[in-house]
Amino acid sequence: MNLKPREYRFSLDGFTPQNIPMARLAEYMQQFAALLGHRSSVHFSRLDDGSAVLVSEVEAQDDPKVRERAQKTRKHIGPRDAQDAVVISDDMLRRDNSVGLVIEPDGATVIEFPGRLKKQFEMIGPISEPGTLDGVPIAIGGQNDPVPVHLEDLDGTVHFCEAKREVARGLSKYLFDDPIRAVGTGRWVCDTNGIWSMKSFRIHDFAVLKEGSLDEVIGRLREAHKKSDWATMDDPLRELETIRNG
Amino acid sequence: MAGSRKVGFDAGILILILQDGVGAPVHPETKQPITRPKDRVDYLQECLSDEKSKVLIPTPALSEFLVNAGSALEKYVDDISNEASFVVVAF
Repeated sequence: MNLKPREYRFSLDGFTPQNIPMARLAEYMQQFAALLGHRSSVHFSRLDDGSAVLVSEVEAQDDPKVRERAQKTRKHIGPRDAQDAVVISDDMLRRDNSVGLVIEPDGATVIEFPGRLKKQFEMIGPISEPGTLDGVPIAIGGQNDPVPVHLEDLDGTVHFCEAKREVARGLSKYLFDDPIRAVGTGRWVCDTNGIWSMKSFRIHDFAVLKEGSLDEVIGRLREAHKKSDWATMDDPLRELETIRNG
Repeated sequence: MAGSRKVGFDAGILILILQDGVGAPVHPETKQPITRPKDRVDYLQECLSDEKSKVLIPTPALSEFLVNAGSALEKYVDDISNEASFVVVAF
């Protein structure tokens, strides 16, 4: 059965089909495509009037996947490339003195882009902050001391770190293999969107991580908890309140 | 690949998730006990597990929780510190 394609709309307030520069339109289309993903099933349909409204058609069989991707991205748990597309689009809209919306086929707004309305933050940093970073070492090497170390986290993001040779030698045993928790100092900056990002991380020490699922770990903690003092109390939440407020 | 969500737990959530029959926390605005607390934390755990989320525990929350760890202290610290699904973070 041939189902009708589903339309997703990206409304660009302040632009019309007549005044939007073609090159800028192409940039918005590129980000819209990145947001929706599933490139072989997502097609450009047309540019509607009013505000400039980019309309894309999604082949019906892939619509549930596209919808899930967009909704997860709204909750900031979408794929990295989709979340990047939202940040880039919003920054473009701000520079264009505009705001935007992505609208689902049923008319619900799935993502709002505050664009020009977004509060601008002062850039801060870089500042140093002790912390931890989890990931699998995927590259260790170089002639200098400290040596560059690349850690790939669960999301596939690669963090560019460095470590003294002695620490790097220890990390090399886990190259491409075990996830580790690096303990060290990060260098952070805050951009004009108020988003903090880590620019570098000096690894001072590390521990090899166990990869039990959340359910497994909570199951073990529940067993251990039976031996805690909390487990002997009639009302542990009241006790917690007493610890906090006396 | 989906991004892994990071969710902070305070000591109250830890107690609710690890111990049955502890009663209900009071809603800070209504001052009324929260209904069905066990169902809520079970659903929370299910969602976090499905999403392969990481649980962040700020150091002040961990300190509160460990006050009454008793003989479970070592096991708590070992699991929370060395498992990829838990991260202790500075506050």
